[in-house]
Amino acid sequence: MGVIKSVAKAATNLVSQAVNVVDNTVQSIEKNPITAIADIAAVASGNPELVQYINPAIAIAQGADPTKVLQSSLVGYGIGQVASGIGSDVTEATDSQTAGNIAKSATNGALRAVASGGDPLSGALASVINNTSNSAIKDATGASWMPSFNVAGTLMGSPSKTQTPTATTSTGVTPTTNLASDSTMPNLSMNQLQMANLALPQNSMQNLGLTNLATPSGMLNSNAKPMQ
Amino acid sequence: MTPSQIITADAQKHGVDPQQVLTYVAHQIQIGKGNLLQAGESVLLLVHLGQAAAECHLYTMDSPLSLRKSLAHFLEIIRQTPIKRLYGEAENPGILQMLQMIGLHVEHSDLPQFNWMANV
Repeated sequence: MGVIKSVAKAATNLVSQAVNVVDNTVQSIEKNPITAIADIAAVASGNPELVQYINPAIAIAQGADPTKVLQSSLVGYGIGQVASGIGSDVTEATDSQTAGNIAKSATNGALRAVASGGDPLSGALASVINNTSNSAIKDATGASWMPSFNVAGTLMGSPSKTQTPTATTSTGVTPTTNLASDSTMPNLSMNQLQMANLALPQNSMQNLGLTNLATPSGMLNSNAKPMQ
Repeated sequence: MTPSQIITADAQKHGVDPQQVLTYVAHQIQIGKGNLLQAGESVLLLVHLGQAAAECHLYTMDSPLSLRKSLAHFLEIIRQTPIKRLYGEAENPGILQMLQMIGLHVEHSDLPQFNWMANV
C-alpha cells in the first residue's frame, strides 16, 4: 500500500513539475513576439542555454530597468563588480528616450546574435554599448565619464569556472542562482569585451574592484591594455 | 486557459493520457530541444530536428475560426526564425487544409516518422 502511495505521489510530482515547466516556459506570441522569435532562434541554433539570457536582454525592450538587466547578466559571468561600476552611473538614467534607445539596441543586438548563431547577451550588450549615445546617458545622469567598450577586443579572462560570482542583491540584481551555471555557459563569447578600454582614470580601477574579477588568477590577463 | 490546461483538454479530446503528453512536452523543453508557443487557445510545441527543421505538435481548444488566426500567428513568428521546414503527423486532414489556407505548401514528408512537411 505504501509503495503504491509513493509511486502515485512520485507520478503526481512528475506531472506537477511538467505543468510548471509548460506553463512557465510557454511564450505567448501575442504578448511577446520578439522573445518567442529569439527563444526559437537560440534553440534552433543549438544554444538552448542562452534562452535564459535572451529573455533578460529582451526584457529591457519591455520596460525593465536596463541597468539591472545588464548587471544581472554580467554577474552571471562573474564580473559583477564591473557591472556595479557601470550601473552606478547609469542607474540614474531615468530619461525614457535613453532607456528606449538602450532597449531597442539590446533587442536588435540579441536577435542579430542568435540569428547568426552567436551569443545574444554579447550581442545585446554590444548593441547597447555601441549604438546608444554615451553623451545621452551622460546628460541624463550627469556622470563625468562613461565607460566605453571595444566589443571586438578581448576580455580579461573568460567566464569563471571556479569562482562563484558575487551578486550585489542590494541593487536588485538577479541572484546568481537564477543564472546559468558555469557548466552550461562554456562557449559564450563575453571574452569579446575588452574591459581594458574602459575610459576610466587610473585610480578608478580600484573603485571598480577590478582585482576581484573572476579571472582564473583574479588578475587582469596579459592581453589587457593599459588604462587610458 | 493556461497552456497546460489546453494540452490536457486536447489530449482528453483525443483519448490520450494528458499526463504523458504534458511530461513529453516538458521533457522536450528541459532537454533543450523544444519551444512552446501560445496563441489564442492553441499551443504549439516545436521540436527542433536540426538543419533548420522542426517537428510541430499542435494542441488546441480554439474554434475553427480562431484556430486559423492562431495558426497564422504561429507561422508569422516561425518565418522570422531560422526554421525553414516544418514536419508533422496530422490525424485530422482539416488541419492540413487550414495550413494550406494560411499559405503553407503542404507536401508528403520525406521523413518516415511524419506524414506531412512544409517549407516556411
